[in-house]
Amino acid sequence: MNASRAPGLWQTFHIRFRAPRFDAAGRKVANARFVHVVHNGVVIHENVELGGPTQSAAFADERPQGPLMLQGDHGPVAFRNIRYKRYTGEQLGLSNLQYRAYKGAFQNLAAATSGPPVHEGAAEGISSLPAGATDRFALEFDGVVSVPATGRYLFDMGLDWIDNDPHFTGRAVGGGRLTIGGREVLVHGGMDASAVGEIQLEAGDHPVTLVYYKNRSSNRSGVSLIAEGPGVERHPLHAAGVTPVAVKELIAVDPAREPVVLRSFVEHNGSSHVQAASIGDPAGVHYAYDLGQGALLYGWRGPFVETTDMWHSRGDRQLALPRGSLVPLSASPDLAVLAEANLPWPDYAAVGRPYRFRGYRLDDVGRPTFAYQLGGVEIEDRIRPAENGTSLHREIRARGTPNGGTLYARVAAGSDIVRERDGSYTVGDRSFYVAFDRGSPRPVVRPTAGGQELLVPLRLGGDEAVLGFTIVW
Amino acid sequence: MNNRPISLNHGMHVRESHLIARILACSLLVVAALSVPATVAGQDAAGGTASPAAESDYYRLVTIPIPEGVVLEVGGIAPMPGGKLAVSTRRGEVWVIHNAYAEGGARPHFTRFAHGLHEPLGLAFRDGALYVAQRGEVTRLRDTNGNGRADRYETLYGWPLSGNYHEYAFGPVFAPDGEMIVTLNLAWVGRGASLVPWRGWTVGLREDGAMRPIATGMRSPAGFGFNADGDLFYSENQGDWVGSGSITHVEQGDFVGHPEGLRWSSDPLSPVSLRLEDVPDTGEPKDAVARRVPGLKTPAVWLPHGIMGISTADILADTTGGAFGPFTGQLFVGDQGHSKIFRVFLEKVNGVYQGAAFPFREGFISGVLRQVWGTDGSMVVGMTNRGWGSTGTASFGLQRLVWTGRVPFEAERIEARPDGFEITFTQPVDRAAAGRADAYQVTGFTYRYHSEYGSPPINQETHPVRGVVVSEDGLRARLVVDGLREGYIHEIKMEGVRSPDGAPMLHDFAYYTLNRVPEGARLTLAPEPPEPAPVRAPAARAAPVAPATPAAPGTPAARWQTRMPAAWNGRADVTIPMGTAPGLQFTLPRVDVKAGSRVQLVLNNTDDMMHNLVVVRPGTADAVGQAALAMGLQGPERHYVPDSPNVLHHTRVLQPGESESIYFTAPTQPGDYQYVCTYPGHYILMRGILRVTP
Repeated sequence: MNASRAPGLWQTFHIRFRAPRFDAAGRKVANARFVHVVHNGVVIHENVELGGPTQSAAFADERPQGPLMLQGDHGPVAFRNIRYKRYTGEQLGLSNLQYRAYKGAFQNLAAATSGPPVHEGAAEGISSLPAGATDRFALEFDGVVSVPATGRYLFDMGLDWIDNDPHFTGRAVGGGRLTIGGREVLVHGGMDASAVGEIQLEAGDHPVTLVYYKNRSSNRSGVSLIAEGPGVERHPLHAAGVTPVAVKELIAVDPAREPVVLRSFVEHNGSSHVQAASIGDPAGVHYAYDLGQGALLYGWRGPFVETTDMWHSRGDRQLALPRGSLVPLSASPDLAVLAEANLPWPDYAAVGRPYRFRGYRLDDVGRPTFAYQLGGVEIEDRIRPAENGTSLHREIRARGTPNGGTLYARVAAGSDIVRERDGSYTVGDRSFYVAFDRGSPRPVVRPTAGGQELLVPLRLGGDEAVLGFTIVW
Repeated sequence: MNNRPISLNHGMHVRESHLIARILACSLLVVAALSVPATVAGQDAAGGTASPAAESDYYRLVTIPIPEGVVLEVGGIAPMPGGKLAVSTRRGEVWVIHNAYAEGGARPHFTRFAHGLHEPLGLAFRDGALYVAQRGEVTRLRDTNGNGRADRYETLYGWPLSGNYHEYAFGPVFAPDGEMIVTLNLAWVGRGASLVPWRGWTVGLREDGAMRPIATGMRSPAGFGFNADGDLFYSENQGDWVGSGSITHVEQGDFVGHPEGLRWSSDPLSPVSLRLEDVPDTGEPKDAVARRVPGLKTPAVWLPHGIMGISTADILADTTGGAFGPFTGQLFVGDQGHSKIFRVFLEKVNGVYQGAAFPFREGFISGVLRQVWGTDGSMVVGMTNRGWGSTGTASFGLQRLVWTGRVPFEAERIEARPDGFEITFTQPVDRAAAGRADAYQVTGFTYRYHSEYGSPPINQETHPVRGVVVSEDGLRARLVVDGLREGYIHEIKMEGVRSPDGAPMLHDFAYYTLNRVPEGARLTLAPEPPEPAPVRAPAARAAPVAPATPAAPGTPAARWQTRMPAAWNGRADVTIPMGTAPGLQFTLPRVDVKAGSRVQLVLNNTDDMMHNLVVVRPGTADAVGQAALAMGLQGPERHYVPDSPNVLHHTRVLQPGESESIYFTAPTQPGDYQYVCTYPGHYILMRGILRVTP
């Protein structure tokens, strides 16, 4: 899959690499490998072994260590923000583990461990097995953690039964705490599956206490504890192989023959958009759209979406998940009526949305045009693959009389917006480009709390106002 | 052939008995034979007793073949002009089926009209357009360029959503005056909850976007429709605040039972005046609470859970004018869990709807969700069971139910009388047999109304049939029954009734919901002995409790041990954590134990339905499951564990979220024993193998 961006835009790599291994005699016993490579948010390599050196390496043979070489020889290339972390191969260790198991429907950690344990003893590892129950229990582990090197450590505690329900009910269904050397490292609030904490530790042994409770009924009751530190690669401290992970078969939608407008819940910027659609095109360029506020959320290229979370069993999350590298475009409405040109862009989470979504019509190849009513104005919004097949073209048509002000389109917002010589704009520290159609109204760059935004006024004088532009990434 | 394997969760393998059921079900004839009706001596054309009569002799099931690759999880069906049928699916598609009735033997042809909708659960056709309720809105679909595909997807009305997966929207159904009725399911967060406005409500919509909230108290209102008089009824499923499935007459301003929707009753648009705090959580019968709390509407007809289905779905009134048999004007009510259709006769007494529910047809290939009339007077039935499991061999399907023209021997209706009931038969009966009081048995009972999930039958009483008068023409039997109680459900068994040729009825029992006893003249019977005191049914004794000390092996108490035997010194040899998963599954399809080992099994019911676990001898899961189904009203209080020597150990029936540990010693004889959930409708799918190793 090609997850790359257009020329001139920043792209990210996150690479985990393991050098070749050699025995005492210097013979190679393990190939070098790219353990995990993520390009623009998409995993593109996993456990790819390399039989020998690649071109332009620092030396012709292979050695256990060498410099990092970055190659760019097909035109101007810029690199920035290069960070690395070298792992020594050392890990933390747990020993002398003792457990205490409690039974009951506890509302907090203090209540969970205040009574007498129902049983206790030596534990082979950290897992929920010693609890002897799959619901409504608490477990406390005491032991010794051996720390290989002095430095800052990160711990990630996971309680795998915590799903979406706490966000609907506002009530936690479990909780936990990790303490090392008498100092609290993290508190797990029971609202999300994972909780993270950091602590400065000296090399050597420290007493460690892990306590957690579950107070709901569900099939999963597993705990995980993962650690990472200076030169110490992320690794599990909990007992391996105890908690099975159920993997669901992939269900996907493929717009091979005609475009698809797929209504579902869509996740963007950490929140769930419940009146939303993913629009897939045979050209291989897709986007997600919030129908409740006329906002283009993100775009991507490649395969369309995975609908396992909608069509497997009851479909717990009802999410269509995009199968490509996303370019985030908007987190708020793209059209608004401003009474004055210097008023801030409205925040509809606070005041409620004035949009009335009317639906969409399909053209004769099946591509949608969305229709809205916004304060006296009828709007049509047409987004489709641009002619080059890799970008999105958006055309907004408006007609009517706006109530109390001027209709603006917010074409883009980001940390910065730079006008290029050819009249196009580069947005958000080189995240994507916007190129306006010829004859479009003149855009305005305004400051925002987080950076800048690009507004275009749509002057409605009895006719239709049209705004067209291409988004390139 | 559209026999598709039931999709099991988590990639589990297909179980052997289930596989056998699929192979056997490859022909329709055998599907009919697999159902468990009363197969009784019937008549053949020559007039002599021949093969036993079955439901399929009167109503045939015709499967509409679905093309390979089309996942037709039916959410809605709408007949269209020109012999076409439109079907919406839970994967968001609308298919138009041409020649759905296979005229001339030609295969039906499917074209896709629309797609990308968010789980539509209904469909209606009107004025050249299709109307569908999806998760967040009612959408009108139109094909304006005549290419057979929708090119206009118009949003008529959208409502708030919390994002919880359980917030389904059903409909729309057009009212006689053109208003669209939509019902909105509650969210599920371990219990029903109304997290955003109008969840748990029935609303009326107009095409211009006007919205009128009509009534609330709904929990899972998957089916609703109008009776022949234009009155609206909706169906409810057993769950929290709902003791058993039922159908209820819905009028503006009604509160039908689940309190969550009352969170919005103070909205200016709301016609409901009750508030959350007005609803008591006492566990009294719903009828008793309704007499104290005006505004609470009780069901018109209850469908006793486990006996008359477990997941009541669509309601369809017979408006075929006789093309579908002798039940003109009655309602056909589907069940998604047992894949059956029931028949409901309605009458009004003192202005209140009530009536009788009868078995009608079973053996549909999957969970029945939608029913509509085809243009030829057949009933088109749409099915899906994804996420909830159902009886049947397929995970979705489309079938037609066609009347053969032969009239089955049934109770056509049962009406309330001032002193009992009057049964009208579909054909004359043997007057002697039908005139005996002991041909009938009447038992009254009700359910608790409380926040707990479901309810067993309570306050059961046998009501003596003091006398019967059969009409001259043999078509009616008037029963004089003592001690009937208003607001109670009455099981009426007619096992002694015979046709003049000695045949029993095709279905010989019904459940009459007696909301009101009519006034009027009582029957004069021949002099009879003094009235005996009402007999308490044996089932009124307290439910069995597991003994505190382990009993001798083999005794009934030994089958249900919830405390660790002292002789085990606090330690079991093996502890089995067993959970339940959506789609009628146990989380472990197989468990291995050594013969004679001490086993602690922890059953954790994490599903949102009730379940139990019964350990049985090898190969007997089907027999034990069927015996549990036949336990009738006695089932709930005995946890659906039949008195069979094949039952070795069992848990009680657990509510959602409950768990129970049982302790037993594994059999000494190695082999593949089985464990099965015997809750009605679950036994075919929900089982596993207990492999006892030497």
